Amino acid sequence: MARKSFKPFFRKLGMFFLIVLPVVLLLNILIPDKGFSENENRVLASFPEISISQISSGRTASQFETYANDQFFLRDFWVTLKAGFDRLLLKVENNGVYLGKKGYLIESFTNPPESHLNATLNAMTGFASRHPELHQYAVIAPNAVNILSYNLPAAAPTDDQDPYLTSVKNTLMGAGIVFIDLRDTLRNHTDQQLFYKTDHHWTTQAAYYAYLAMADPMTLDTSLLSYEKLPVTHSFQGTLSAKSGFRSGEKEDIYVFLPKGEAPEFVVNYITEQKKSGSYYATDRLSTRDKYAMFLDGNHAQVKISTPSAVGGTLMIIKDSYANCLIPFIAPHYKTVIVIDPRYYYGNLEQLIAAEEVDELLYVYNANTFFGDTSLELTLTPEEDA
Amino acid sequence: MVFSNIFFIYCFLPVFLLLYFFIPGKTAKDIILIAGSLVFYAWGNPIYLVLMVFSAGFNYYMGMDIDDAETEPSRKGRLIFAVIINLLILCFFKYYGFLLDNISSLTGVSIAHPELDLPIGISFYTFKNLSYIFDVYTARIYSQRSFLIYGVYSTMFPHMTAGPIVRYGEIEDQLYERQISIPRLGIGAEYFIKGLTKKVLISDNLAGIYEPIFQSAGQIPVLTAWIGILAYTFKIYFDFSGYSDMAIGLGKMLGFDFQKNFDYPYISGSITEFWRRWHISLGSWFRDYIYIPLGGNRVSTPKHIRNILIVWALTGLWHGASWNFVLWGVYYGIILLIEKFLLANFLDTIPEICRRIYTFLLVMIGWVFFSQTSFPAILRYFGAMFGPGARGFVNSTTLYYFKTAVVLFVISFLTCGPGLQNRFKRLMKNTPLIAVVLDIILLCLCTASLVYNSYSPFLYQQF
Repeated sequence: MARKSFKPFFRKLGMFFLIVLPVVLLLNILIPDKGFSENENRVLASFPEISISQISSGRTASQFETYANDQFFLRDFWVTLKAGFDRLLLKVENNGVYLGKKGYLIESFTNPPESHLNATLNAMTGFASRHPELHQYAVIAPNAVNILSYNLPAAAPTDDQDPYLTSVKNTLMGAGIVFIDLRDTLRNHTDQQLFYKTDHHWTTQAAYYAYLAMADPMTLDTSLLSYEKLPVTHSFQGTLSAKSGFRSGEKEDIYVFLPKGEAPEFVVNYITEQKKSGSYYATDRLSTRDKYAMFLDGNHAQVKISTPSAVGGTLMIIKDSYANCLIPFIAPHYKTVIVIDPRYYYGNLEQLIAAEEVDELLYVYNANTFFGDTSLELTLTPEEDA
Repeated sequence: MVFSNIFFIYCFLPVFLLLYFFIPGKTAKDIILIAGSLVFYAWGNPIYLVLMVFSAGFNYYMGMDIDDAETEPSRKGRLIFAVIINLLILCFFKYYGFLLDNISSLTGVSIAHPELDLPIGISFYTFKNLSYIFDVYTARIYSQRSFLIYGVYSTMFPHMTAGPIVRYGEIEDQLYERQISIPRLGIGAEYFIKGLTKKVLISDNLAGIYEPIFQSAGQIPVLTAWIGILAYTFKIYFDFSGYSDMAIGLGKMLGFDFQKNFDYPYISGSITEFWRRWHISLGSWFRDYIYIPLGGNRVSTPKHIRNILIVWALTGLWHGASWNFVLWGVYYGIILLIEKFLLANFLDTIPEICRRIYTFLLVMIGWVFFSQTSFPAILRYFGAMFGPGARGFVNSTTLYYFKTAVVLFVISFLTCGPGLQNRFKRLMKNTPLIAVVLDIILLCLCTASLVYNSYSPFLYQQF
């Protein structure tokens, strides 16, 4: 028998290389470019414009590399293949997102820089001392990393939100702001789904428990309305699956709690956009990837809600997106609710409070955003100091 | 451009290979190779192309100039001139800021200096061109009279940016005449796919393990520190040797045989052996052009020790303009001296496995100097590894790191020796089809990882 040689192998592999590489190139050129990626919720790179200055600065080169990557044929297939390979390597973390137990994707928490947090707290306590006439409340919702920590991969290196929440609570209470601590409330209801499995938000269910916990300190009469739980979509794919690549095919439900019986009429006024609506829910958002934005149409600088309530006064809510699914529970208790998102609001808060005759102020944040936020401080600080 | 990149593999390479394969004539191929190399080099940072082309042209000219000198003093003068110019360029771009910073901290006078981007591959191509100049001077080779041919040697993209430091003599024959064929392309592809796999599937994933550990180096227990440095130890090998394998593979595709640059260094039985197996082209460069001209070991013992320490301090400095690299080099210089003068006979008496563990541990410790760029950071990391600065011996997070690293560690352990590769070679012979399919699977997994690199979902609602 002739001694076997490597030659057949090298010939085959050589042929493969010489044929497949150009074929892939040809496919990439021939297959029309995709504009928008549903999976990544972004516009993919298009063919770069070529100019001398761009080339000499090297920008064209990096644009070409991004273009070749973004428009690589069967892109979604390759991304899925890579995620599968990660699972084989027993990887449980990607981009700060853990692949938790029971299908939960959980965003990790890292200790916030003290300076940010202190600046925010100083602004809040300073504001409280300037406005003793306002009743002030704060809801800083703990995240899944705290409430569902038992669903994290074993011993995942993430920091603890508890000491920060406790210290924030003490500081705010000391300044006369009523801190509504949701940790026990939520922990008592972990039999329910409190957080989306693929998204960083809490569910309407969790917001409902928060509302019940707020009723006592804020003297809200919760017997006013009873609710019916209805799913509005079964195909929500959240930010965490997009960010991590884990469970990219997973779809889940979004529920809304609708009042039973005849509900009072109200108007939601998106001030900056000069748009009015008779509903808290922007159902057109359900046909986009960002389905959580169906609550109050996502984040807006300033929203004014007017209800026919005869008892309540005017409430101002300073908030992030966690508030969006909570507000439908709170609003019926007030005649007017002014919703401010400091990340987009650049107006004068003091003037607004005076003009709208605000009686009560409520902060609604989730811990992850609150600890890292810098915009709240800017909004609360009077302009002459800023 | 780098090799581990979708654009390189699926745009640049196919276009280049088709042109190179199907346009006939050696001169035409030389021109295509040079043109392709210039595009490759200028890609992303066109400005330093001037420098690289100057270096090629200057050394081409100086090679002839040295050869043409009629007297020995004039030969020597031209050599010194060439060496000084090459080193000036290298030092200006690589060590200028480092030098001024050190002068500042010694004298207390702060000297402002612009932060220069390091020209890609300058350490590699300067050393390559210098080796040519030295070899011409010592008459190991004749100078090249054709600029086209010297240009091919000096600018060739496979080993242009990250080595190996290919000597002119190594590939002189192939510069005149080289074989291009489908099986040779296959040999190149085999090297390239293995190198890509090392870089993309192993090395890049290992980075995810040691990075968080290094970041929290002040507050980790002993075992976590060791997991971190073990991940780094594997990572740097797979990264560097993977890149060398890709370079060798690309060379083969084009008809060049470069010598191997890594020879399974982590199975070495001594540090002396380790440095015969690690970055071979650099080690032999320092041996041939610094150590031996200084007298090597054919001098008195004190001078011999001096030579070794000089060579290793320079080897360290070559890796980067920072004191930690010098420290890393000197660390090896000292161990090599100890092995040479004290341990030589002892090491031979202990079992192979003990020698390997001894070597591997010392190499891991060496990487602490290499990976931690300041003295305090180095001390902190050693503190964590050996107790005094550690938060206990082990904690639950150690377990997490171990769990997420264990598959990669097993893969790394199995692939850093020759065993698995030998098995694959048998497969290549006995069932070539299966071997090809395995290579294709690896290439697909690498492609998936590279495509994923630009996977950056737009997070519509950052809360």
